[in-house]
Amino acid sequence: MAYVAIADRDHHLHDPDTFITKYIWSQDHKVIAIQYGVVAIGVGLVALALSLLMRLQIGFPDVFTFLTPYNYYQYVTTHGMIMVIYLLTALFLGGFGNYLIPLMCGARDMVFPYMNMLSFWVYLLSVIVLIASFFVPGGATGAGWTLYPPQAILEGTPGADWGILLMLVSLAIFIVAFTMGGLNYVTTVLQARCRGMTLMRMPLSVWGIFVATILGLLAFPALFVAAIMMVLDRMIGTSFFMPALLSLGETTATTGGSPILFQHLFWFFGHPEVYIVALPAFGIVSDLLSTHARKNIFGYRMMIWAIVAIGALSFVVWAHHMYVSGMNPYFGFFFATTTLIIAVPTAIKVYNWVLTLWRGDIHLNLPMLWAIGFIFTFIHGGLTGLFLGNVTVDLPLSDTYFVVGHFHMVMGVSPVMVLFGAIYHWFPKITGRMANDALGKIHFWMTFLGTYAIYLPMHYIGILGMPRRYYDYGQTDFIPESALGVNQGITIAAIVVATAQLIFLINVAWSLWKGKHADSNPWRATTLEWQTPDTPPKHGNWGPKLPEVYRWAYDYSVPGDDADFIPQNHPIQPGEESLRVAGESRK
Amino acid sequence: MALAVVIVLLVVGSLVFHFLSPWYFTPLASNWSTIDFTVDVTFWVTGIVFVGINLFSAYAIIRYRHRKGHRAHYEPENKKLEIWLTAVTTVGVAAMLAPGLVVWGDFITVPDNALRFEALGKQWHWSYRLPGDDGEFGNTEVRYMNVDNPFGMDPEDPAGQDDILINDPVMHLPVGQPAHALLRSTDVLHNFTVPQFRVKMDLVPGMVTYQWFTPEVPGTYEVLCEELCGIGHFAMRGKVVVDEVGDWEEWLAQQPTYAETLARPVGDATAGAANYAVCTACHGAQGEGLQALNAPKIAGQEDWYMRRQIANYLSGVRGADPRNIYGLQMAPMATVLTNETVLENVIAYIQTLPDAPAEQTVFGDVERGAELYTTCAFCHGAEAEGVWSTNAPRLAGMSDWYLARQLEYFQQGIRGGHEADVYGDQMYMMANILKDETAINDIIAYINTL
Amino acid sequence: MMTGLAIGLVLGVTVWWILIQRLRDKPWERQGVIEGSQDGLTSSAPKVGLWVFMAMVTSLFLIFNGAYVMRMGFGHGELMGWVPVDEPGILWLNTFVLVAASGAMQTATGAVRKGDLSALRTWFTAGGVLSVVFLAGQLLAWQQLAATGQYGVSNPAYTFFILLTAIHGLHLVGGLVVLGRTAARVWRGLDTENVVAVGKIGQTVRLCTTYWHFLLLVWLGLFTQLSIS
Repeated sequence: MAYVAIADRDHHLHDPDTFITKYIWSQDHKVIAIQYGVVAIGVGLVALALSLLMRLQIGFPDVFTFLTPYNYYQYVTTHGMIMVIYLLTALFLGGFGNYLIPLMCGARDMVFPYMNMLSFWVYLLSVIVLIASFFVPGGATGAGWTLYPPQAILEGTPGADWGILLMLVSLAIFIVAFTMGGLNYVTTVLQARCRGMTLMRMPLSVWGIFVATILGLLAFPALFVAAIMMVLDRMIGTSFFMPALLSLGETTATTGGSPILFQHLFWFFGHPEVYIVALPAFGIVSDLLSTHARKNIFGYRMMIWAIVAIGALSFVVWAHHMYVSGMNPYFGFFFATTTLIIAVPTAIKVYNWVLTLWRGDIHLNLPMLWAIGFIFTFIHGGLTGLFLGNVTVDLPLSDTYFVVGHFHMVMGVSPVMVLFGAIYHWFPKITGRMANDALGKIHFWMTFLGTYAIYLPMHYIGILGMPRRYYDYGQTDFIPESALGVNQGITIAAIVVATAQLIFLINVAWSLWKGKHADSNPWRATTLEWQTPDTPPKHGNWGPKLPEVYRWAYDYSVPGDDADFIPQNHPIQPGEESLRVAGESRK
Repeated sequence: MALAVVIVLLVVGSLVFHFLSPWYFTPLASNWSTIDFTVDVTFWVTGIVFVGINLFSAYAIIRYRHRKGHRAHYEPENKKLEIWLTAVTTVGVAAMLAPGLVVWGDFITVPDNALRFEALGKQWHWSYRLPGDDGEFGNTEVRYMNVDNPFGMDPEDPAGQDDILINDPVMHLPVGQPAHALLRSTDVLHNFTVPQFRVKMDLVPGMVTYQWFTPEVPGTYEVLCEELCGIGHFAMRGKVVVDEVGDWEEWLAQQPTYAETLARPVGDATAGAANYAVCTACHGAQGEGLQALNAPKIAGQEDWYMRRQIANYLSGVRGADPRNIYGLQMAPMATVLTNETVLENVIAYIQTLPDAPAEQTVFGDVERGAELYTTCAFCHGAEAEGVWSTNAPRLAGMSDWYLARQLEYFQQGIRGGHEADVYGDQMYMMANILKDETAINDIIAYINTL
Repeated sequence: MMTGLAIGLVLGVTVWWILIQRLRDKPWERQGVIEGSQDGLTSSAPKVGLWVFMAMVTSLFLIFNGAYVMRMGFGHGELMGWVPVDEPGILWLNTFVLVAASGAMQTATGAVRKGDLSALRTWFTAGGVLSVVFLAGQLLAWQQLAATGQYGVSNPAYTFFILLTAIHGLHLVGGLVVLGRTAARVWRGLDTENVVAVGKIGQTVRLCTTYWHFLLLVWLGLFTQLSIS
């Protein structure tokens, strides 16, 4: 017997009718998604501005008076933290997770809408606390985004009074917000799919977000634990991470604590965090490639196994961030091996993306440009990961600009390429209007070429030996004059890329106001979110009746069918089965 | 189309950049050619994959771009191809991992004949220790550390008495002998890196970590801290000088043991008064300084700072630059302090002089100065009182015109430019954060209020 | 390492669960309506949500456990600040009270099944009261420890004890908030004939019971762990 869906039963009970319940205290997953998106992009712009300030100092160290080491380290720290947590995690899961999961699974909403709403408001609170840390005495913390103790809570670091506390409190609040959202995403995928939507029929976007959320739910507690223990070390002088110390001429009362313990906790969260960002990107880009190449994603099952395998393995590789941290050196063997093993499923995903292009019918629409751009940047960033993941190669490269180049390529540029691709792809569904194509293309080319101009040279000045997190290089014999020239070039490229993001904002504003009206399925895609009765979808998404699913998410160019796509909710036509088998045997 | 062309161009461009750009590893100066070999292997494997996949996708984009009437092929999966690709990838990964693990095994196994030395990291400078004749390091504890015992040596431990203490960021090592660096920190994380040696390891307070390498090319190499250690991180520099064995032994013989540093004469202020007479002419009877003669106030200055500056004058580290005309005057005067006893006596006498704040002669925007001073406070103290552990002298209440001149000297490298002046080098980098003309006056105006 | 393995285990179970959902399906070959497949929002969603939440809390306590073991290994003994805590005997009493609370909740669930309203009221409320007694007992244990004056904040054995019992207590308080609201409804509203409302209350009681058993297990684990200081 089928259950009567709760959302169907009291659908009319919480239909929002006032402006406030519709747009502010909204429990509609689509509104919450947009709220998450707007706040994440807003705070991301702050982080972008901070990165420009950093680049100005590195490129032109003698020019800008207001850039002191004090400010510089604050900017470095806040930039990193915002980008990783408050932008990427929030936008992929809070933004796209919220928007896509119910629509792609054929649900009316998340299963716990009230908690979902709270999730956003608590997230907003965490952002406010984070930004507030700039305005307290001593300002924001300058401990680097890894917040390693003892440094982070000792006087030798900017913001050791209040900044670090606000940062830790903000992270704890963020984790609470993430938990409330995450419970929704997982439970909705497990319990609210429409009839016929088996797990193996779900689009890869949902798979990526789903597994990433599970990773988050299991990994964020490690950051939570680390944050609580550090707050206690800072506030009441416990000795979790603090050994006996002499700080700036004064001895502390602490004794016996282990700074490395913090690093283990931090990276036990921090490495899965990389995949919390990457897996949704993997999933979404798979759908973009498939849709715009008019071809099923190659090796769908393999893609899911790879997502699950990467997710599982991501919990046993964390200490590759700690090869030179002074931990037991024998761990190096274990973690280098697990890390290089994780390269195999990751490589398979790359092959499958490229093989999806092969023998496709490639429409180079705007979202497709970003998706293919992602393949390029991800290959680059992934391959340099093989350098740093291999314990011996990490020795000369760790803590240099090679690391900065690598992680920006792999978890900065690459996910951002997917984010923009996704925004342009779903813009018509979210707003009912098409995004401007010309502006979007300018945005793409400036971002794609600009970021490569930033990060490719960084790898080489890293190999040269330039350490990261230096405010100024002064006179260092092994660093030639020309390296400063490289840094100036990088700074200019960074300014170009930042300008491109303004074009994006203009595009969004202009398209919202004047953009061409979109029909309900402009990309002729198969997945359920394009089959809604209204565009943008109304509250409850599906009108009176939930959709039913008869096929997987990738029925593009099925042999014998006139159209080159069949939506998931189209019933099976007589004779379709035999045509399909014939098509397959042709290969 | 454009996209495919651009991808091809980016691939070609990356290769050209890789082979033609001048920015690559510094010449290797240690035994770790195996590390460079592993890097090379990784470059080859990843390079082939990078070129291969990207060219393939560029070709696919051109060949299968949308044309009228063209239709995509329907192919859900191809198990054989996928298994094959997985196998090839696994082989490639193993080819990179295997040498990596072998070399790592070498790196964590220290040869028996290695010369052991300790590198001690402290915000924001290096110092070193050798075990001395008994070949054994004495016990150290943070709680023993103070201005007279910067290493935290346990005074009770007999093994520590002959430890050789190098309270200076420059370490000498003999060429060709494996060196086993034991790494110790007393405040935060640091990282001991010489890029030319290829290896690095963090220093972790509360424990001792290690690395080893065999220096193979004589010369002077910079030591960088590569783990963010607070605001002075970028200025935490040291040097390793790789000597021929004979030179190294000579250098070693000149370094004091712990017992010798303990035996330093205690200054006698009464005796020092007589020796101070010659200083009176410029620095004044009360050590109050005299601007007309360009002599700063010295009363109230920290003893360890004066000790180091006199040593610098005597060795030509300071006051030898022809642009430093006042330093050139001081250098010969310093030779009046003929031996350590005299020096200690004079310093002891200066400590007894009344410490009246110097007259204010520099004016500026105090508020802006306060903002700029935030960075300075980390080393010199919030009250500009001087902090021994950061090697930063007292500034408050000292001759402000002198501070202004020294800041200018630091900025121009007149002071701190000498390659043996490592603390001065730090101040050279820090003085450069005062990037406009009024900044020096503003900051000194603020120091005057402290 | 330990934590990693533990989390690996949790994840392994998740992966196994997904695998039994037939990850080997070739979805392009299985067309049309699949009998017995998902169909809209199921009524067991709150239960699944609770289990997901408990998985996360398990991860939290396992990580705390890992941190505890590592910190103990890094610096055991007086010199490293780790002075083992002499656990107050009242903890045994508290454990007994929490077991009783769990038992009361189980009985309340049984009463829901039988539709025995008065038994439900009694046992559900008893479960809440016993939990409050447990919390009071924990506070008493803190007080006794503080009164000995032997332990300072720089002793991680002591601070871990306080921290872990506090985190566990907070989770129980969170449960008590839900329990309190449900108890109020049980006392007021079970007389109604509204089947949906009754069903909802019954479900909440069952979920509370599951959560209480879970927190009991967490406490038993914690108690064991804290005894090995």
